[in-house]
Amino acid sequence: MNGKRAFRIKVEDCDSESCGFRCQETCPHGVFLAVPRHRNRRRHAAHPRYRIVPRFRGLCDGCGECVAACPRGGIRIST
Amino acid sequence: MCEFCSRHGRGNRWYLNPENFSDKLLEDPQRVKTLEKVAGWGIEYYIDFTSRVTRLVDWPVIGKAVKAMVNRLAPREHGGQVVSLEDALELLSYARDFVLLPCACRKLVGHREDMVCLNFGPVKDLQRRFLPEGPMEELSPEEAREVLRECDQRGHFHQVLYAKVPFPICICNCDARYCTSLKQRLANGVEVAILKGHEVCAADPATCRFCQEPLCLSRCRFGALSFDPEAGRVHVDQSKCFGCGLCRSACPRGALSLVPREEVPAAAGLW
Repeated sequence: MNGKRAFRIKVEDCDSESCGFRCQETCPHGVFLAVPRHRNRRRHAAHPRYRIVPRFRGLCDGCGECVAACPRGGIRIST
Repeated sequence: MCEFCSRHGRGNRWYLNPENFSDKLLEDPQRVKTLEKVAGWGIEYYIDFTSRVTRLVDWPVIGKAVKAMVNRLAPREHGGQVVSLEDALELLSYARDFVLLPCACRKLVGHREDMVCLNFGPVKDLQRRFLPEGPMEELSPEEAREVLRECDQRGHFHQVLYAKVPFPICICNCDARYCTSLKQRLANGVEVAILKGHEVCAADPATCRFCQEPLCLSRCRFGALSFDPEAGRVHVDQSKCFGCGLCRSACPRGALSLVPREEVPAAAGLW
C-alpha cells in the first residue's frame, strides 16, 4: 500500500450537495473526504458547502463503483 | 509499555495515570495552543490539514522527511491510541465534565451525524467559546459509561485522544470506515496518528468451535481474524491486531481474550 500506490483517482469539480455525496456512500473503503469549500470558518458555519477529494487513495482497490455512482461522471480512475 | 507510558505512565498506562488529568497540565503554552488550534480552526479544517500533510508521506523524494516531521510533531499536538473497553471505563473515573459531540470523521467521510465522540476536561469550555451554536450534550459520569458500553455493543472501537502527550481529552468511538486517523495510518503509513493498544487478542483453540455466524470475524475492523480451515477454528494474526477487544465481547463461548502485547512475541513492540 505504502509507497506503491496502484490507482490514481481524479475528481472533477463536483456539485456534491445536489447528488447527496453518492461517491462517499458507495465507496467501501471511505477513500473520499469532504472538505469545507470556504476557507473562512464563519462563512462555512453559516452555509456549509463541501468539496470531494480522494484524500485516502492509498486505500483504493480500484473496484470502480464510485465511477458508476457519480451522476455527472466526474470521477476517473487510472492506474 | 509504549513510549508514552515509559515517559508519562509512572508504572501504569499513560492514560490511566491520574496526574495526567490535572489542570496543571493546562499551564503548558504548547498544549493550550494545540487545543485552541483544534477547537478554533474547527475540527473539520484540522482533519483537512492533517490529512493533507500525511498524504505527502508517500511522495517519492520528500516522503521520508515528512514522515520524520510528523512523528516528531504529532505527540506535541493531537493523536490517539486504541484502548479496550475496560481501560476506557477506568479512564473515565479520572476525568470530569463529560460532553458528547458529533463525530467529525463520520460527518466528513460519510455525511452522518452521530453523537459518539465522548470529550472531557477542557473541551466543554472550548466548545462554548468557539462553537456556541454547535450541538453538544452534557453527560453525567454514569451516562458517559453507558455511551461507551452501547458503542461497544454496536461494534465501535474506542480510541483515546490526547492534546500533547500525556493529556487525554477525548474517547472517540470509531468505525474503521470513517475514522480519519486510522485511514492516515493505513493509507499513508503514519503510525503515530493512531497507535495500537496495549493488548492483543488471543484465541483459545480448545474453546473455539467456530460458530455458524461468527460475530468475531465481522466485528474485527483490522483484518486480524480469519478462519483456519485446517483446524476449523478462528486464527488471530496478532501482528495486525489493534487490541480493541470488540471480537472478544462478541464471542458467545468466551474463546477470545486480551493478553498484554509484550507477552506475545509476534506483536511485541508493534505500536
